Amino acid sequence: MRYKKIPLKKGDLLIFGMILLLIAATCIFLFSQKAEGQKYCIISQEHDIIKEVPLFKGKKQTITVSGQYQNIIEIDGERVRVLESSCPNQFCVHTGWITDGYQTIACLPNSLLIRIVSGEDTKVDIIS
Amino acid sequence: MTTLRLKRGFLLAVFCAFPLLAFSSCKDTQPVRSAFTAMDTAITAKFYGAEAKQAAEHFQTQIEDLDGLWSKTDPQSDIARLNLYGTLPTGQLDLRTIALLEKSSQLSRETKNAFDPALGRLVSLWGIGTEKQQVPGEGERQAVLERCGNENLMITEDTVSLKNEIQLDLGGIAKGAATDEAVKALEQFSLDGYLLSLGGNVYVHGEKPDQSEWRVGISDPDGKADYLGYLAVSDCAVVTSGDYERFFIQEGVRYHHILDRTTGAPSQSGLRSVTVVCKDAAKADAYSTALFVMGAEKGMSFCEKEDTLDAVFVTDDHQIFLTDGLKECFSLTESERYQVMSEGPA
Repeated sequence: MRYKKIPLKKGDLLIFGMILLLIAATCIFLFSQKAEGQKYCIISQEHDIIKEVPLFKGKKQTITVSGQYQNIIEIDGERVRVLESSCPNQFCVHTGWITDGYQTIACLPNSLLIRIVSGEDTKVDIIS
Repeated sequence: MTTLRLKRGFLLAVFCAFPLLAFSSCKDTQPVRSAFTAMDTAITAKFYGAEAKQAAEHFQTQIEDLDGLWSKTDPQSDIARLNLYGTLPTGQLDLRTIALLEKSSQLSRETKNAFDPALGRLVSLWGIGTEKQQVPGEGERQAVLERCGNENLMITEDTVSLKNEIQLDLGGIAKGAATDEAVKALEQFSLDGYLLSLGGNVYVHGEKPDQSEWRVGISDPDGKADYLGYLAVSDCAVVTSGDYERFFIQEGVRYHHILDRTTGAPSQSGLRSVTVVCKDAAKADAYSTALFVMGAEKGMSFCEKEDTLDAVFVTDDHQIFLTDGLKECFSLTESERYQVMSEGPA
């Protein structure tokens, strides 16, 4: 059985173009999905997010947050802690390192909240 | 020729459908998150479903509103005004505050004051977790205890009165009660599932997008691991009271924030923590304190009499006791240091 060759028309090219566009969109989407598996450290004060820091292995940095008190946040690869704080109770410092999405560090005197957000599943959703 | 055109059309449809399906699944699996500080604690939540964004916004507004009513430190709050004036007409109090006080009083009676909302003066005397924390002498404690106790909280149709100079401290129930209010309000939104955590007072509802149950970890009191095990549950509150939450150590003794009214000192019941699972979050909150004060043996028999109440008791010698309702849903992860006991506490 032989197929008769059909010449390509304008409409066909349009359809191919659309398909290519959709493939590109899918690739972008899948790439962004991968980025959602990326861990982020989200620092909020009062009701606003003041910083979102992507966490990468081997990358170290410190962030200073001011307000009623001052907190120095240390980011070491995929873990985060409050290194120093001028707050009276030091609970934020005593919390130590956090590494997973179910953990938070709070400095209530400075209305500061530090949490890790990641698209990855952890064994538990939250700690009581 | 028509067949070929159809084939092209079919291929196009497949190519179009794939990314569309992928996009739509993405939208459903990512929760809307909420995180803020209120009620003297860190509050986090995540919501799944069509109206997740609206639910998250409503949740935050509602909790801040309740914080304004029940805060001990905000001088305008209902509780602060009651503590200041001693008596207020019910007309000057929010209905939710009156309901909370009635419930607190009832739970206090049910637990024979193991949970007591009127220990404000004792809490202030110890000052645990504040700059003024101290170990008060026996005489001081007894003097303060005379101005404590739920039996002095009088609620009538017209007034709420704090007799005998008592001061309210609703730290052991307010977060649970706020959770109940939030859960009621969230019914108006189209949601598949959500998780609320008011400083570790957890409520889980519905399912996650993969239809698995929520897993709530129970803190490791030693702090060597994040959690010692977890409960796989849904549509209930999970609240833990532990001696590791707020404490100070003086001359080798740990003084924690769960005070026993009978001694006027931190409870020495042989427990490190109690986790309560109950549909009613205020009850779960108050009972977690009460069961901690009662200890494992009395606490287990208390739970047996209450159908709607389940608990996990962690003792200071690393034994774990579970009520019958939790035996199937608890998983131990720190099995080298902790042991789930099959027999009840001796």
